[in-house]
Formats: sequence, C-alpha cells, structure tokens
Amino acid sequence: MSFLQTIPEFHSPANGVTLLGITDQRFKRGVVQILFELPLDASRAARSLLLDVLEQGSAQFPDQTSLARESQNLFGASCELYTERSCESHIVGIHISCLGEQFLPSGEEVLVPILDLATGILFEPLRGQGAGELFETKYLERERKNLLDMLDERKDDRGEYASERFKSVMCADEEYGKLSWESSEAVAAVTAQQLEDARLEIIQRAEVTIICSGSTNVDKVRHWAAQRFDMQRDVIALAEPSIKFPSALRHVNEHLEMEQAKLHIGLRLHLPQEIADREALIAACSILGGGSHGRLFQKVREEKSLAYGIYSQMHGRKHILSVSAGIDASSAAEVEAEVFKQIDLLATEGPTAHEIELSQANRLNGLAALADSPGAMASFYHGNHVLGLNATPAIRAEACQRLTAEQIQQAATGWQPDLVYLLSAAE
Amino acid sequence: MKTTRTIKHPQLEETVHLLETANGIQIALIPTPGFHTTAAHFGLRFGGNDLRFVMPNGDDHQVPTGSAHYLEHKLFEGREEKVFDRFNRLGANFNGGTSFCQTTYYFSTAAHFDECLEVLLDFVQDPLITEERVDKERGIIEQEVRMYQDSPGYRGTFLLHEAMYESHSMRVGPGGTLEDVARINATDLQRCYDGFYVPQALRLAIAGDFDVEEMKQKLEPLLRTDDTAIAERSSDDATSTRLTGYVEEEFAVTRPYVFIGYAQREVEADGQLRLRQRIVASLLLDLMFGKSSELRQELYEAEIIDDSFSAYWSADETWGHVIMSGICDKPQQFVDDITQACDKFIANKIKASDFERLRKAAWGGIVSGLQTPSAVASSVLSSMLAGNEIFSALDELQAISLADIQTAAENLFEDSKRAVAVLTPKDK
Repeated sequence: MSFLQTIPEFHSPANGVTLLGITDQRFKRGVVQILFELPLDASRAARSLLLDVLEQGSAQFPDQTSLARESQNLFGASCELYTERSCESHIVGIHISCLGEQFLPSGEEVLVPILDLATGILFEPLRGQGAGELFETKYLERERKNLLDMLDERKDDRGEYASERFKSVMCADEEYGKLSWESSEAVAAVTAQQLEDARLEIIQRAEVTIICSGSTNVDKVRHWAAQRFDMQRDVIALAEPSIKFPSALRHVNEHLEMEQAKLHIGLRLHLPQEIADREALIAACSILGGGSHGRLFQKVREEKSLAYGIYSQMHGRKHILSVSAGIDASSAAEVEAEVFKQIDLLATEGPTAHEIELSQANRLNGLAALADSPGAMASFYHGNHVLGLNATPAIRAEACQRLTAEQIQQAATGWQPDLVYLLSAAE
Repeated sequence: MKTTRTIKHPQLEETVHLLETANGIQIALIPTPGFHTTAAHFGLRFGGNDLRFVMPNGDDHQVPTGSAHYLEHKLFEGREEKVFDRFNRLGANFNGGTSFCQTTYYFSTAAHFDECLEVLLDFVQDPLITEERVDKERGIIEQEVRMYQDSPGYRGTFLLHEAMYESHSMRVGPGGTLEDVARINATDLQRCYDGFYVPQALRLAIAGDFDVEEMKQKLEPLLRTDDTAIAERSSDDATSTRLTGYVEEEFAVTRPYVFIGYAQREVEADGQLRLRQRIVASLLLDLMFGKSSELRQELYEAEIIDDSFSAYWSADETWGHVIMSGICDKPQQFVDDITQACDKFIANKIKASDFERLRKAAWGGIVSGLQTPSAVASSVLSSMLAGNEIFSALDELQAISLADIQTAAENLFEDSKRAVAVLTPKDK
C-alpha cells in the first residue's frame, strides 16, 4: 500500500488569501473551492440571505437563466454558492467544478471564465433598477420568503433536524450551538443595507482560502486570485474553538411526529495537537463506532438488532465526540446503556489486538485511497491546514501503524458524557 | 473464459476488455493506470420489482415485497464468517444496494485486492440462508424501512406510484412494506437466490491499475462453473395497469409536498434504445426546467416554484415516468400552473441554440463522471445490467437531434397520462 507524500503548494496571491494546491492531472475534472471565513456574528443572517439574492444574477449576467447558460457553454462547468457553520466560524463558500484542460476541445478555456462568472456574482452583483436601490427589491423579498419557508421546512427532514437540535442543545451557550442563519426572526429583519454591508465584509474582511484540486491549473488560479483580490483587505482574526466540560450528564427528549427516533449522545474531550495522539484518538473513535468494524455496530446492530446504523464521529476542530443512531424510541435506554458501557470498557480495558488491526486496516485504506479522490484530498489537506498539522497521508499512516493499545486506551479516557438527546414521536 | 471484445474510447481515454465464461458470466476489465485503488462491482438484474417468477422446473413462486433487498442483507452474513468482518480485516470500503430492477455488491480498496475479490465472489456466489439467520436480520431491516418512511420525498414518490400503477410492483419501494418484511422467510429468499443468482445473470466490472491477463487468471478459479438455468420473471404489464388521478395523504410536513407524474407508455425494452431515451428525456427536462430555462425562470419569478422544485425521468423495461415535485402552499394551483407550463413549452418550438448548449454541457458531465476507478466500475456495471453498449453515452448524445427532443416532449406530457399525489400537513 502506498500513501501520498505530496506536500501541497501554498501561495499567498493577496493579503489574507491563502491558495492551497493539491492537483493531479489523472483526474478529468478540476475543482476550486473558495472559502470566505468569518465569525458567527450578528451578520450571519444577512450573509445567509445575501447569497440567495446574489444568485439571481450579476452585473454581467443579469438573471439566473443567463448565468446558467454561460456555465453550460463552458462544457457544463458549475458553480455553487453556499453558507454553513464550520466549527465556530461562518463560511461563505463558492464551489467551482469544470472539465480538465486535457479533455477540452483544442483552444477551449473554461477555468478562468467560470472563476470570473462565479465570483462576479459576489463582487459585481446585480443592482436594483431604482435610483440607489442596492438590490432588486422584488428579488430580495422573494428570496427572503423562500429562505423563511426553507427554514420552516427543516423539520421535515427528521435526521438533519435531530442533528441540528442536538448541537444547539448541547452547545447552547457556545458558538458551535448557533444556527448559521441565526433565526427566522433575524432573516425577516435583514435590510438591503445590511445585505450590502455583509457583502463588502465578505470581500474585504474574510479570511480567504482557495483550494485547488483535481486537474485544476494552479498557476492560472493564482494569477486570477492576485487580480481578483487586488484591494485593501483588513482581515478579521478568528478565535479558536472553545472547550467546555459538563458538570453532569443531561437528558433531553424532544418530540416530533416520526416513525423512527433519532438518538444523539455527545461527549466532551480534549483534541490533541500531536500527530500520534490525534491518530490514537481517531483509532479510539473508529473502534467505538467508526463503521461496521466498530463495537457499537457489532453490539447494537449485529447482536441486538436495535438499529440499522450506529456510528461515532469527531466534530472537526470542536472538542466533541458524538454517537448517533436511528432507533425505536422504546429501546433508547438500552442503546444508551450499551454506548456508555462500551466507552467505559474502551477506557478501562483498552482495545483488543483484533480491534486495533481492524481500525488500522480501515484507516490505512482510507489514507491510501485519498490519492484517488480530489474531494477527499482537498478535505484532508485543508483540514490539516486548519489544524496547523503539516502531515502528509504518508506521515499519518506511519503514526497510525505505530499505535499501541495503551495509546488508544489513553486517548479514550477522560471523555465526559454531556448530553443524551432523543428526538422521537410523542407517546 | 474468453475475451469477447475490447472497446477503446479515445475521448473518454478509457478502454474496456469484455470477457465471458463458458456458463455466461460477463466480465468487464477496465485498466486505469496511475490510480491507487481498485474497485470491483458485481451485480445482476434482480431487484425489488421481481416478486413473481417461474423456476426452471416450472414451479411458480410469489415472494413478499422487499425480498430482493432482504436477500442482499442476508448475503452479507456469509457462510462461515460475516462478510463485514472479512472486508473489515482487509480495510476495504464495501457495500451493496438493491433498486427496483438490480442488486449490486461492490468494494474499493488500496490494498489486498486479491483477497477482497475472493470475499466478494465468495459471498455472492455461495451463501447460506437459514430461518435463524433470516429472523436475526429482521429488526435491522425494519429499522431501515422505518427510516425511509419518515422521508416526505420517499413517501410522496410512492404515493404517486400508487396513483400511476394499479397493480405494478412499482407501488412499493425495494425495501418492501413493514408487513411483508415481517413475513419474509428463508424459503422465499432461497427461491429468489436459486432463480436469479445464476451464472448467466451475473455481471462483474473491475477498474484499477492492473494487468488484464493477470486479472483473468485471478478470476478464473473464483467464478462459479455450474450452468444453472435462470427463472423466468413474470413481468408487470407495461401498459395496462396505469391509473391517473389525484391522491392526497396527511403526513408530518410543514407545507404541502406535490408530486406530478406522467407515465410513459412506450418504454424501450432494448437497452441501447432505452439509453437514448434516457438521454433525450434528461435533455428535455433540462430544457424545460433546468436553471438555464426561460420557463423555469418564469415559474420562479411568478413564485410558483422555488428551489425545492425538481424533475426527473426514470424507466426500465416495464415502466417509465417523469416525476416533477415541489413544496408549495396551494397544491391545485401548483399543479395547474406546472401543467400549463408544460403545454406552453410543447407548443413553442425548442430553439436549436438551447439544445446545442445543453448538449455541450451534457458532454462535459458524461466525460467528468468517469473520474475514479469506483465511478468507472459502477458506470460500466450499470451499462452491462441495462444491456447497453459500454461508454456509448457520448455517441448517443451526438446522434440525438432536436426533433427527437420535440417528439419526446409531445409524447411525454399528455393529460391522460398524468397523476398527482399530495402530502398535506396534518394540522391544516
């Protein structure tokens, strides 16, 4: 098995703009992600609504139809604007995808045109027809209504809603518990001027990371970015994610009409900075519930048939580990007891040699397979960059292979149960 | 095992070597030099719709809904050891899936390919199905079915299928009903296995950085050598069971979910023709409702649709339909406006420039879809199971004319083929 030893290209084409290149001409498609990172502050409702308004057109392409037609002309190149909460930051993202140059007919160019088209939506927006009108009022009000409808409809997706509520309840007084759009009331109150202020803040004050993967030509993106961000930028410094430990385990049961209950169990822990310690924590999480090899899958699904799926996950930079499962509400107590029993056993007795073997096999295959997925490569290297870890997949694999049972057991100790959240039908 | 053909596609930069065993197992080997992972996808044309069949000895069987999906779960039990455990030891990514007409099993791995291939071919070709094993899985499958039942999109789609198909197996999802899952037994599953999991039905696609001759040698001892005959499926009637109408059901949703379906009576039985039909339908729906469509822009600006609106075409030998869906406040108004929009689109001729632009975008989509060994193996297996020429989508795309699209539009959107299903909020 071989692992990528590639060290990504890092460039700084403009103030507050980092370009990360991990490209590979084997791939048929190039992907460029432009991430604008800001605090989860009072502007987030405006940012969320802003993108919906901006997507109606740009100065150059004044409606959705002409925007879409232009990207189709670029051999199906695509761009998508989105906002999301990423750990304790607010991300405004632009995801761009286009055919690699080697697969285009001779003389065709799509990369720079799609970059211009996608960012033109944000940098040169469609203005209102009236004098001094920042945005077309009818578009603003229509998109506001659409966003408010969509926020109301969140409950229709029981799984997503349970996951959102779990984080909001567990981290009620932390940034991590905040909704990326703040609230429906905040969206309802956003003014056109606040939208414009939010737009300018994204362009001028966000920390910008551009990730090039797949068959993207990094030099072209670098030159393009230097021109696009050639301006005075006063970047807002972002705070590190907070750490909080609970005083006692809480149980919260909320109700919605639903067929299958959703259980989430949250635990607090310290995320280590050392590569070896981090790999040990990844192994501990994997042994607990990282897939069909995990204890929870084996005990709760395979032995007791209580769930179709039960998995544990770490939450990026946030010092949280959680377990989630879709279950029959009547078995919630039994599943909860099994989860805590297995966590306790892992911390007190450590993993078995067989469990280490399985988790290593799974992790190593994952690290080796990164090389075949532009998306996974981008995610891995960007995650490393955010965490300040300069480790290639090869270095991570080496650390993983050296792990001992004691290191994994140590990584599993000190996890503090914080919340058992159940979303279920009312009895 | 003999090589039947080698297909090279210069634009896609892909080559596929097609092989066939003496007993009819068809294999596609696609070398992808430079890639770290190798993927194998193994499948057959047997899915949730196959509920009645006649065994080679003449016995007629009817099995409960969800049997194909239940069988897929049971195969993962393995004979001596759970398949999960075997794959997990090797670190592979693996899974299976059951659709209306197909079941597939697959893995992708960066190491231990030979062992993984052995596991895949072993558990699919040599299962052990007992009552005890079947009972043990029931709770897990019930939880899976319950998970789908909470989804408005899933429930609305099948409510619409019930309105479109009177007695067709499309009325129920591949997972089956909870009632049927509760009564499926080992005999049902063994009959399904014996009837359909036979060499002449099995298809295998492998993509990765390997030598074709070496791969053939690896495969040779791992494939079944029996010559068991296949069961004859009692296909649903393709034309006589269609209904139309308007059905409503209360569901735990915030606003009404509306599903408009147009049943397609003339579905191509031939795989290649159906591929062309699929591309035509896809282009047509993009022309009508894609983001570059003026019609969509009009509907969006008039606040008839929002971003929840979607439209897709789906078909197999005995069924085909377009489904358009969205969330709205006034379902009847939504239906009226959308159907009028369809009529208007058909009345206005499609512009050649719009068609050519979408064809160009579709070209990019087809090329870039074949990005990784796993995507390549999956795509090739789909072609093998659907019975169409591998890597022929680009050629079909080039052969389609504007007139084909116009004709499809006129045939698809007839009032007499339309059914509507609405999920209404329970408290309204």
